[in-house]
Amino acid sequence: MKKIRLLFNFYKGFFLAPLLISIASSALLFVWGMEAFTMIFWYKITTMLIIYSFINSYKRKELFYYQNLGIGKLKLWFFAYSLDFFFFVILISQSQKFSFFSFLLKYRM
Amino acid sequence: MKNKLEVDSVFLEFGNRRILSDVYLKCETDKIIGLLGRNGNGKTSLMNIIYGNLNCNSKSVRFNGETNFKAYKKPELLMYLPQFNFIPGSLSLKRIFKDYELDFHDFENRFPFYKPKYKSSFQSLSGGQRRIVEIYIISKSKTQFVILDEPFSHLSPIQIEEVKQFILEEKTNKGFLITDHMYQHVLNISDDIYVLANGKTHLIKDIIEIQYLGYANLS
Repeated sequence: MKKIRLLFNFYKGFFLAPLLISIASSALLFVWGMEAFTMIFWYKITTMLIIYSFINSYKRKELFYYQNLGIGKLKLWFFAYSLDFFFFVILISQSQKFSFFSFLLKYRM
Repeated sequence: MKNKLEVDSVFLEFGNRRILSDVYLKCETDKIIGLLGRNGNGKTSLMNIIYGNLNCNSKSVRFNGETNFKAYKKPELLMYLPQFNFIPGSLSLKRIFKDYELDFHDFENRFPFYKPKYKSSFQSLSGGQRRIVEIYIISKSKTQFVILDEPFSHLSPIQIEEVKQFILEEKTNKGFLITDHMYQHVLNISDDIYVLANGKTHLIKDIIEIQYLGYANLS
């Protein structure tokens, strides 16, 4: 239980940026439809890699906090990636139900 | 029970530059080992190698004779205080002490200043106050060995004396490996001193050797 709390705590430190990307991805899928899925998927993967490489360097020092509690970098990043990707899948799969994205339709090209 | 940490056969190169080549270190419960060396001689690299954070060409790190290449995966064996602040600033002291399973009352009795800071965030403390918390949690945690990289930097003389005092108290439970350029403090509390020079560790038998090895001018 303590380990889960620590893993969540690490993810909490930077969850907003990848979550906003996932919400944007969901909105794009709502507007452009399933034919844009491949592009949106790679958009998410690319931004994930950029965000995570930035965070990895920015939070490098904090990793010692978790290492001293027995949680290595690999576990931290695996958990963060998995949780982020889980939210992405949930948002993407439910995108057609988010009627509040409908105001974007008038901007569709 | 007396635990033993031994390090040898360490070989580290960065490109063509040989950093470590002939290292032997031994640390035991109830011992404080001081590691001195000039900047760039590989003290922090050696500590990271022992901790398992830095890959090198070869190494042997043994806890009670048992090899362990990734000591950071076992905090019950070894904990490491890096030379910079490592605790996430958003965490409260309450959370930090809970995570490391330490009693805050013992801490506030020793350092009354922190009494009203129990629920404060770590980032609200000054640099020296943060460092005290970090040294305390690493030194007091349930582990066999502790590595302290520059624990005295950024501390006032009174704080340094307090830190030395609780390290000396805690050494009955564990072994310490300490490096700091405030070498007089290291010399004061250490049972053995190693000087790292030209990639090799030298166990000091006479204090004058640290001058011969080019670390400090004692005259």
